[in-house]
Amino acid sequence: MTKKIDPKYIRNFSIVAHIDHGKSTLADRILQSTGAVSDREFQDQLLDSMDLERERGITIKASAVTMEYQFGGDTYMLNLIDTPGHVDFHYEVSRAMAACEGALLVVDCTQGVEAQTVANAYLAVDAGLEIIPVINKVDLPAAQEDMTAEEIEHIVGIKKEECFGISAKTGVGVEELLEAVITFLPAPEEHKDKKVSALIFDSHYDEYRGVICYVRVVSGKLEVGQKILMMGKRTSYVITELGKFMPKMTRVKELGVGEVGYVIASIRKLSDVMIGDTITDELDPTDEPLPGYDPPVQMVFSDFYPGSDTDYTKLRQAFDKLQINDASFTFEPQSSPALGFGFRCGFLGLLHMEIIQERLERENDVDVVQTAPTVSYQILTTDGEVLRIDSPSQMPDPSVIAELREPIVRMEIITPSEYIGAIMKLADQRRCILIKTDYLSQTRVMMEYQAPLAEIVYDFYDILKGASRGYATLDYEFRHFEKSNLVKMDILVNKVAVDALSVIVHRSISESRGRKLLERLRKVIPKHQFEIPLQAAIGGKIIARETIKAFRKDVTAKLYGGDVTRKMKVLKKQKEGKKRMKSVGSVNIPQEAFMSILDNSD
Amino acid sequence: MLGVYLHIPFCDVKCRFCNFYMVPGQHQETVRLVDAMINQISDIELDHPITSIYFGGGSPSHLPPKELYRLIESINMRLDQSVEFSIEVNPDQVNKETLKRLFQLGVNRLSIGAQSFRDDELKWMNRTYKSQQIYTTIEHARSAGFKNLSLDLIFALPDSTISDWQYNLTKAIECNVEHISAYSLTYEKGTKLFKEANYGQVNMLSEEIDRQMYEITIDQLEKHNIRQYEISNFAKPGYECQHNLGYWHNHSYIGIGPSAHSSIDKTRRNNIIGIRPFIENIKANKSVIEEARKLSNIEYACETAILMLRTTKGINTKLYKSKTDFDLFELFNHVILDLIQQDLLEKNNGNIRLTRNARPIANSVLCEFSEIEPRDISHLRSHHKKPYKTP
Repeated sequence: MTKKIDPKYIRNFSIVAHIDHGKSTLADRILQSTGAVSDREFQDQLLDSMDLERERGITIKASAVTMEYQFGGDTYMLNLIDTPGHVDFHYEVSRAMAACEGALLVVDCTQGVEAQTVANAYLAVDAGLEIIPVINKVDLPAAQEDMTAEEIEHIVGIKKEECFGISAKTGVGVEELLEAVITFLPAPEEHKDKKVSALIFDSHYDEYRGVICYVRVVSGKLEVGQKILMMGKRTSYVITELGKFMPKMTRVKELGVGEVGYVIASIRKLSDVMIGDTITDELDPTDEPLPGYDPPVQMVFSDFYPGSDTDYTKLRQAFDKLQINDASFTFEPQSSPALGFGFRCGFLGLLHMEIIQERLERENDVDVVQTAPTVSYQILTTDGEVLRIDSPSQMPDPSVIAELREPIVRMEIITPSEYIGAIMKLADQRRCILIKTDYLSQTRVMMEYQAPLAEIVYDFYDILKGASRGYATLDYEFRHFEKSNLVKMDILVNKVAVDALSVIVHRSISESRGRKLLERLRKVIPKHQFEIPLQAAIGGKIIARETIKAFRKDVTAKLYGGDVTRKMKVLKKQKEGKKRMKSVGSVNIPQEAFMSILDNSD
Repeated sequence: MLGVYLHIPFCDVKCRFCNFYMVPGQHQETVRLVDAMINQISDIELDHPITSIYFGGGSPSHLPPKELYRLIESINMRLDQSVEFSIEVNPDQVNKETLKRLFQLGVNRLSIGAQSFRDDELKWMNRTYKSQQIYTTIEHARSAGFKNLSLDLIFALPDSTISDWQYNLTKAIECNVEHISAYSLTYEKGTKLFKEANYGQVNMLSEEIDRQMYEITIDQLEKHNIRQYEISNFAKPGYECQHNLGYWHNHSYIGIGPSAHSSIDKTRRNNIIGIRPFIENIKANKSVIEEARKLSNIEYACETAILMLRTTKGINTKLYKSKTDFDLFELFNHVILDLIQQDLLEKNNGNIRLTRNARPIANSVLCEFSEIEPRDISHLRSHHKKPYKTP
């Protein structure tokens, strides 16, 4: 495909949907309908290249496919830009959308509109995309096409008559949908300024070719041999290869206005490329970069320590390997007097953390001990400086803290209306403020909350699912940092403060949280030869206490000739059990104690 | 030093708490087994003189007297000096004549499996005698000439009270025996009791009561000059069981009979468990060793420390060095310092021993000696010319 294409024959669009609503299946069907993939080559859910994605039914990384489609006697070029389904990858989603003119909003009509549908729809609206609502799975007996269309109308404001009913599985309605893509979605427009600008909306690392950037050309054109400048990073490269995903990588000599493809330019590390950055011609640069360039921000943190069969070096190598493919994941060496040497890892959100965890175990064969996730806080010091901390241990002396701020998210929960009461109670316990309740239909409600991220980061989703028999869906999006009455609560075990057990909590719930935490610790810390006081303290003031009683009897009554070997084994095991625990002062604390600290459940 | 242990794997009935290898009920193979054991005895290669003999089980007194005597006579042939010669007896299994004969044959110590002086407790344990028979046995033993008698007792039975145990202790003291072994009831896997406890059918006594019973035992026996010399063993001065002390000093011993264990030259062996295969192997002139394991020097040193610490005298550092070739303080420097600081170990006349506080919770102290810690290995490496050999 080397001939230059008039932008009016190009359509760039993405598909957005809630998990499992059929996004990948629809993408597959479109690939087949356009003949981009022959039936022989066909492999279900082609766009999800990682096994993990296919298994989880989630698209983690965006992808782009270029297809040709005949309509009205003309050949059109369709670029389908896939987006991550989850708003943990909010920024990546927004950049992928910025590369499009339109979006297909897919809703499974056996499920109805879900929290991620809403979050993604809002993102598409914010990006100024033309939206085609698509109602999927109309072939199923449980299909509720009308109700789903009404919900879409309610949420996005698109008339229910404009919805397309399809079955991505059987292919019903897919041809019509492709025609709609051409007739309804706008063609790319060229910048008035003819200078080169291209948006990097994704990237991935290839072992042999280095970093491969996914780009959308907004104005001008990219050519092989061209000297380019990454405007955000202020680094320059020479293009060594250009191409398109057809869906196999196919080389081209140039990429013109409106076109989508890839750029290879001897870029060695994924972290050398920032998604959202603008590529321009180094010798004749554009004056203005494309809007929206933003480095990824880690919101959730968790410590990973090498487990019994893994050492520090092995864990470090595993993290290095993961980072090659995921620049938004961060890790820093960390040492805790209680847990030894490990790493503090930063994630975009909870799902991102889970994905990294799984890949760590699956691809690297490492065994880790992970602490409960925490969020990042902002501190305004008395000097007017703003610090960011992601661990209670980094908290400065209270005397220099003018203000403590915590991350606040906007959270949407969609639920059958009978669970409203239970959800409101849960939200209330977690300091969430209800912004509005919106009936999507007679039986389904969208509740919008302003919530402290710290309160939903650990087990909120599980409890929500439990409270709604699995029906409620949740999505959230980071909004801002907000001043909050937070305190650092120290936990003292046998009068010694244990750094890895301290937590940052809201003052209003500190006492009950402290009591629960101590109760849990009392259960997981084994009895010792002496009594162990457990205390929760805020700034030296004890707010809760518990005691672990000393064990009283632990001795093998009989030990004669025939018992020696067996008893030696038992004693060795006992010692190993002690070793697995972390010794703090004279108290041995098992690792599960460190996980229990953020367990908010009753 | 060499102890000889003879294991008689028979009992009349199986006790509720017992996980020893033994066969309940009468057994046809008694004679053949005794033949096989005699055969094994005659095969012992004696590099060291035998210094103690112990008949245990099971219940040695379950054997028909004639068979028991045969066995004793065969071991007597291997003796070249008078040694401590113990035999375990159950109160309902030995009469006056048998005891007399045993004494004449050279048995000089009886370990009477009394367990309790309360008939309800005996019944619960599945013992087949009444408390009265314990007194009778002691009487017969004395008249037969025995000057060294021991009673086995069990405390911390489910639902038992301090006063129940107090009663047993008082009765035991009244018997005026030279030695008492008092064991806290153990819930061993594979026993009926273990299952019952797991299903919640019996209430295990709290650690607190168990400990109180233990403390009372130590104090009360002490008052009557029956002094604790090991975790569960008490004796009038001079009547400590030499055979068992051999185990705790990690001396060599040899086991005769099915499932009996031996420990010679840092090698631990155990005999075939089954009675029939044991007999057949002996007949076929094949080894009866089922498993043998040579301990590394370090393993042996760890074991020795743990075993010696069970005695109230603790580890005699000179004896320890001569047995293991290691200096105790070099091997366990940090461990010992930590434990002394926690008031769990103490020094006494060149010995390292458990403090009184540590006795009821000895496992948590002993386990610290189950392997050498890296911090102590580095100490060995950095301060001594003789390189530390990994096991």
